[in-house]
Parts: sequence; C-alpha cells; structure tokens
Amino acid sequence: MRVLLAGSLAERAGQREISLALAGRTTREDLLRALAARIPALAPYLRLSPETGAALPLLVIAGGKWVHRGETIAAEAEVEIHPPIAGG
Amino acid sequence: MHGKALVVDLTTRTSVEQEIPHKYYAHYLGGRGLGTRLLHDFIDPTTDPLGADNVLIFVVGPLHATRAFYSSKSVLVTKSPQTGTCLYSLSSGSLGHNLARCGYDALILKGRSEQPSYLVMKDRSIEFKDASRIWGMNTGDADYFIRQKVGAEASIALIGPAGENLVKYACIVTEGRQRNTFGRGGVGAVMGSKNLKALVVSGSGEVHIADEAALRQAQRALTKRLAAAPEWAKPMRTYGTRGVLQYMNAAGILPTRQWHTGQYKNIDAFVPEAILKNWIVSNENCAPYCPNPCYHWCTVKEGEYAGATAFGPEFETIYAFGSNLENARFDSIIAVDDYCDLMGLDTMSTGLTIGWATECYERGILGQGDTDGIDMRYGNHQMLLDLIRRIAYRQGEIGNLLAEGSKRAAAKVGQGSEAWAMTSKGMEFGGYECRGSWGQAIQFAFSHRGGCHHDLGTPARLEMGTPEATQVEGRGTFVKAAAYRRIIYDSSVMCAFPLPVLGLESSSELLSAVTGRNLDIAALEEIGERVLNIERLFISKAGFRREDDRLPSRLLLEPLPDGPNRGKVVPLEALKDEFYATCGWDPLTGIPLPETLQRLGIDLSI
Repeated sequence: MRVLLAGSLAERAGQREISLALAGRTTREDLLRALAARIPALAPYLRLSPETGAALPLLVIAGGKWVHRGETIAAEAEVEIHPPIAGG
Repeated sequence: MHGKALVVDLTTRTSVEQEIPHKYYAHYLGGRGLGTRLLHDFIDPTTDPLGADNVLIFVVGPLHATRAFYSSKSVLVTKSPQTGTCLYSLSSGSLGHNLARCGYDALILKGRSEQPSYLVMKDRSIEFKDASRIWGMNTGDADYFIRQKVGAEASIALIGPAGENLVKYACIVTEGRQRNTFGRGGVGAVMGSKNLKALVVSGSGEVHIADEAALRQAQRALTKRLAAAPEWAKPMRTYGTRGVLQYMNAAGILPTRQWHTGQYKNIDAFVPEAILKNWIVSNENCAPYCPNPCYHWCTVKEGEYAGATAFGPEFETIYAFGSNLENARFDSIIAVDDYCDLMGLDTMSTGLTIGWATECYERGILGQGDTDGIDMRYGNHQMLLDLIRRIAYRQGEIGNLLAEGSKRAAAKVGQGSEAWAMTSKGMEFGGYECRGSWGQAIQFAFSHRGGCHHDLGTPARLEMGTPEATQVEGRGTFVKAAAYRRIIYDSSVMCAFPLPVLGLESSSELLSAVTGRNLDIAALEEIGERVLNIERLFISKAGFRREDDRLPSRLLLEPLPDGPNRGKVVPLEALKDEFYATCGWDPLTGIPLPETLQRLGIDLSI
C-alpha cells in the first residue's frame, strides 16, 4: 500500500511517501497502527484529543473517497493522510 | 473586573459611569457574553443598526490585563447593519487590555456626533477631538496622524473610507501597521454612522487578580499542554493559518469558484512551503501574551504588485480572493489584503461579494455596462484593487451595488442570482464547504452573526473525515458542545486557535485563578449555553424566525461535484429540527422555549 503523508505528518515522519505491506481488507485502524509502529514519531496522532475525547480526526482518503473508522482499504490503494484541520 | 461601564453619548458629548449588575459576571463572564447581555439593556432589538440609537460596546473579559497567555482578543458588540442580528466582533491586539487598565469593563458609545470626531480615552478621562482633517483618510494615514498626538502605548481603533460611506461590511482597524480588524458584520459602518473616525484608549491602572499563585500555576499548565502538541504548535508558527489550505482542498472543503466545488485545481500555488519560501518574511504575534506567534508578514518583491506588504493574508482571505475567485496569484492576494485594511473592508465579505458579481457576469446577468467596464471573470486578479476602491467609496454603479453585500445586491439584480449569494442572514460565508460537513452547515445556518464560520466552534475542523459529518442525528449535540467551548473563549477574550490543544481545561484554570470563583468545565458550559440563548433571544426579538435560518439553494440543491464529499447536499430542514430540539428552542419558530430560559436563569423580561 502506497501511503502519502501531508504537512506536519510528513515533517514528523521525515518522508512524504511510505510503502506498507498490508493484506487486503486492511481497516483504517490497522493502517494507522502499522504506520505508528513503522514510524514512532507519528504515534502522538493516535492519542486522545483534550477537546473531543476522541482520536484526532486525521483525514484519510483512498481512491478519492473517505476512509472512516472501521472501513477497509484495498491493499493496492494509494492512501493520502492529512493532519487535522486547525486554525483559520 | 471593575463592575462598571462608561457610557459616552456622542450626541451630547457627555459621559457617565454606570454599574454593571454583579450577576452579569456570574452568568455571562465577560467579552462576548457580557457584551450581548449589555446590548439587551441598551437597545431595542428592532433598532436601526445605522441609527443614532444603536450602540457600540467595547467590552472587557476577565483575562484582560492579567498577562494570561492567549488573552489576545478585544471584543466589540453591536447590532449589525449587514445582518440585522446581534453581532460580536473580535480583533487581536491590546485595546481590551488598555480599556481594562482604564478601570472599566465596557465602553458604550451611543448617539451620533454632529461633526466628524474622534474620541480619546485616557484612564478615566474622555476627550472629544475634531476629525475633519482625517475624515476621508485611509486607515494607515489616519492612524499615523493620530499616533503623532497620543502615546505609543495607546490603542487606536479606526475606520477607513468604507466605514465613512456606510459599506455594509466595513470593518474597524486596530494595532497600527499590523492592521488587525474587528472584521465582520459591518461594525465600521456603525462607527461611520456615528461620525466617529477613531477611538483611542490608553490605561495605566491594574486589575485585581484573585489568586496570583493559581494564575502562575495555570500558565505553567497551559505551557505544558502546548509543548505536548508540537504537531499543532510548530506548523502554526511556521505557516500560520495558511498551513491548512492543502488539507482542506484534499478533503474537498476549500470553496472554489463561488462554492461550485470544494477543490481548487491550482492548489499548488497555495502549498504552505511555497508560500513560506516565496512570500513570508517573518512571523510575529498579533497581540500581547501570545506564546506561539502564528501571524506572518508577507511581502511581494517583484512584479506588478512589488512593494505590497501585509500582516497576512490569513486562510480566509486566501480562500475569498484565491480559490473562490480562481485566482492563483498569491502576490495579488497580499496586495488585496492590505488594500482592504486600508479602505476598512472585511476581506471575506468583499471577496465573496465580488465572487457573486463575477458569477453574474460569467452568466451574462451583468455586462460591462453594469460593471463600469470591468471584465469580471474568474481568475482576473487585475480587477480586484479597482473593485475594492469602488466599493469603499461607493463609486459608480458597480461600487454602490457591491457595497451593499451580495444578499442585497442579489435581491436587486434578481434573475436567480440569490442562489450564489453565499450568505446566511446577509453575511458572506467563511471558507468551509459544508455539503459534506453538516455540523458546519448548522454553523452557517444558525450563527447569530449570519454566515459566520466560527462562532459555534467551526465544526468542520472537528468532524471532517468522520462518518458522523453527514449524519443528522447527533449533529445538534455535537455543534452545541463546540459552540459552548467557543463562546467561553470569546467571553474570556482568549484566542481560539489553540482550543483543540488546550480545550476548556486551561480556560477553567485561568478563569478560576483570576476571578476567585470555581469555574469548572460544567460551570463554563452552562455559561456557554446561557450566552447562546441570549443571542438567540435577541435575534428572535428582532424578528428572526425558523425560515431565516437558511442557506443558499446552491448548498441545498446542487450536489458537490468532486472530492470525498461528492454527491452531497445539506438536508437543512432536518438539521433545523435536530438543532432546535437539542437547544430547547421552539421547532416552529426557533425562539427559545420559556422553560429553557427559566432553566438558565435568563430574565424573561429582557
């Protein structure tokens, strides 16, 4: 799976693009866990937000469509992951 | 806080001190909340916003002059000439701190000066000055003129030609060369209607802090929370609000071509790294006591806009004059940003009103005979400075038409153009496409300021990318909670940018230390709910009903054509039912139910 990181995610990871060997029907959570394991610097993005009490709402898009909690991603998909929207 | 306001009558040139009831502080905190409560006391909600009976209330919050981190905002409350609703407006800077140091919690300006004048407030003294020499000046020149006569520590808030000419979305400019603004809703036109060019405030007193040690502890806790979130703090320092442009585009929520789409094909022009490399000169804090400065000076070094320098542009200005007009020329947006500030115009409403006219022109509804010969096409950055000048001075047919804002202009031009007047209650939208973000749709439709993007907490930032973003059930509760948090920040006078990192925990600690009251999160949320309801009560008394909580038909009938939210529209009537039920408002009228007001201790006679 080809994963493209944007903004501060790429900055933290030190790279914009990562290839992950993941099986078919990988869920969003599987993907983020695999990412955090591969690049520990990304782990803070999985912690709880003090404002919402939920995981920070990373924007995960595969094939031009949202990947929500629990949804699966094809192994050959190109996935974009953007940090939460803040400021403005 | 001091427990009193200074009421200045511009008609009679007199002033009088007035006590503020103690319970107002317990119920409404300060800033936005206290100002709206005072607005109920001082005007009839049906008052003509540009008449002498309207008031301008500059109001202090509990954190002003305490040196609390992020106590960065000054607050102004009035009735808006753009929307006819109650309006609070925020500006970064030191005006609120200076007012608090004068010994007042509010400065209330009423009446109308017979001649152009400006007001100088120094501690407890008020002086009326002749402004005939600076009437007509842009905000930069007028600020320079006044600054020669007052101390460097004084705060100056002033209007430009747009305010003098009663442009419906004229702003008030503060902080000298930074040109921060009380931006939205036409506060500059209210000041212009009072023949008041400027307000100068300098205070030398102090405010009482109940527990200095607890305040120091709260500051340390805030700093730790900030340090624990480098993924938020560092990009804000480096790129400012521009850092989100590419994410919003990827998410399909960057309004483009007058909200036809949520993705801009030339987004590469606005990638933060490119902006940093090509345009940003330095970053700077927009107000005292900011631990993470995120504003930037941008300069154009060459080309047709060479020499243009702005303290910005921020995200909303880039959206309004960039993607929304399909204008990829960042140098033109820097020039436009500063020119709007000099003229005293709100950039969001200016950009979207020009966008409305551009779509009319592209569709053949307006021709060059209507636009005074200007070729108003998408992507034509060269039309912008000319149009801004025409709007500010109400020059020619097009200037006078657009000075009224897109809702009124559409009502005049007709031919279906209301569909792309992207406003609610007459205020043009901030830059969050909401067809795939229904919490944000609630924000736009129900905001008591009009099409404001943030006074209910900017739900798009929290819900985007989640399945709940397009589910009706639960959106009311979600938005209500976000609204309470935002209201507390606006009433404390805290900058809301770090809200996702600090939550209400830091507000609670800072406010409890300063006031000596136990303002835990539950207490703050109750204050938030109370403020939301007195705002709703004000607009209800002004005549707004369920049918006025509306969105333009583009968002209801035209599915979003691209991006992850493609195919979506806003189910507005269902969202109304959901939000009214959540808030305890009458489902038929949208008016707060008596039991809701009683539960919150709101006096039904107001």
